[in-house]
Amino acid sequence: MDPRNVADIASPTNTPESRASQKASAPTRSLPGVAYTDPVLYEQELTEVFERAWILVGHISELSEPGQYVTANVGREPILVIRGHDGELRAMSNVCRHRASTVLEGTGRTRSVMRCPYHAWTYELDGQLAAAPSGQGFAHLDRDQVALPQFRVGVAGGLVFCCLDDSQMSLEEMLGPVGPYLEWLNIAGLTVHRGDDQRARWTEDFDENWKILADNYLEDYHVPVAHPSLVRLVDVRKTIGDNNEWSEWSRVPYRTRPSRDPREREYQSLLRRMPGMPEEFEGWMGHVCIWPTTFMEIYPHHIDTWQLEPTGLFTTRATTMTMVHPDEDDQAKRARELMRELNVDIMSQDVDITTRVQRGVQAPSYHSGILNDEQEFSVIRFQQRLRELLPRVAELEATATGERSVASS
Amino acid sequence: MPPLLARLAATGGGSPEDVESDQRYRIETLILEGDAEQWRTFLREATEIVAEYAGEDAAARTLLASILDDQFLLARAVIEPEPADLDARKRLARAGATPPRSSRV
Repeated sequence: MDPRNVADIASPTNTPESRASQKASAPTRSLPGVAYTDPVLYEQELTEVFERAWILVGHISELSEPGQYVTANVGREPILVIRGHDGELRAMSNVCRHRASTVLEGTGRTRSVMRCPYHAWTYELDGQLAAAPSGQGFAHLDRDQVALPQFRVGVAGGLVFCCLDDSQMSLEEMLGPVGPYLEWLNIAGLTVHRGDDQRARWTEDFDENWKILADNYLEDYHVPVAHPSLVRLVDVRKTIGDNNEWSEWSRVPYRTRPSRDPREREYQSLLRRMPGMPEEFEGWMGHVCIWPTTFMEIYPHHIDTWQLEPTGLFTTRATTMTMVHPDEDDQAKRARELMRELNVDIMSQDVDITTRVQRGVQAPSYHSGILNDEQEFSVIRFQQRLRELLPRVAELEATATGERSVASS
Repeated sequence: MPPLLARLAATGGGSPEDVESDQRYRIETLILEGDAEQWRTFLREATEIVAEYAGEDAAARTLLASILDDQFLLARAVIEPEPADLDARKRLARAGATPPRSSRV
């Protein structure tokens, strides 16, 4: 690793001291409530945020052999990433050029070609159409001219990303300090855990606008209020980290005092670093937030990615991918299972909150709120990016401001 | 493909109608009851027939060779190609099959 990157990790810019001195010159307000309900803004978010960003699609261990693939949605585009016979990793549309069925689903390994399940149009691993059944029935089909459109693919720290927009910044640039952090954690040496049903992804659907879930993940201001078990396990006041405009990493120390909760005490007794994880990570839990909605929870015993995908104005799908050491032992497995149980409770607490927020942002009396410079700085940064990218936000804010002026006059 | 059926009939397969009926029955049985390996076996045999007997009618030969080549390309979705399949596709290419550029043998 580049020694400079190690120095970056060792010298975080986000510390308790830096946060305490972080005071904006003017009040920073949240997005207006209508930003969470406006269909015009939602369309802009799909095209200007999700279809232009680098979106996490999988882990490199899932793509080691020719024919291995992962699938995902990038905005409205179903995509697949596959290892070719030539060893190249390619990202391409997962939409058959015939009648638009998706070609592959989930993750796995295809044979020497990809076959659409609808009419068996068959594609080479580089996306070129190879054959179509009853081909003599297509008087005007030039197979050489038919291929699945290709997109950008990038790998950082063992994680595979896809971007639909050729004009966007590089993956490395977008990740900033997160790239070296992922390398430092040796995520590339892990493998994707499959559940008892052999699925490599776990999804959950929420009835809230995606930004409400993202805002909630991005701040720990609510943690002492909403998540008592997290407060017993980690000391959020001692969080350190680093960020650029698009991505951030942070880590928070586990408490050494035994919890009063038996399940949490058992969890505390099982905390050990996975082989390959740096010694400096001993006793820490980490988080990563990558624009726009890739979140990571880095435990000593395993790593989860949590990816939000808007599926409608008021519906969002969260996809979890769990990465473990290839030789995960019983202790690490038990710690992972206990953390999963704790996270189910934490998620339930978050759903209770975000459901309330979804109702609240629709209230005519609510326009926007003031944000905490010290503990909601990631929300401030996230919403600032949205303001810059989405012209509709300014229109909505002008309207909301006008309403507030009228209401307060 | 009357010329092809006539050539096959002349080699001891019975009347052209019998040859056609036999081939149709074999294909239907393959579709209804066969597996991927039997499909491959049929394709290899059909390739040899086309290469050997469909030589005079260029248009028919090209059409048959292209159909069979497509079948080899489609079959790769369910069975890994073997060297004999590549040899078969080379014969089809010589018989006039026109695969897409990416699939040329």
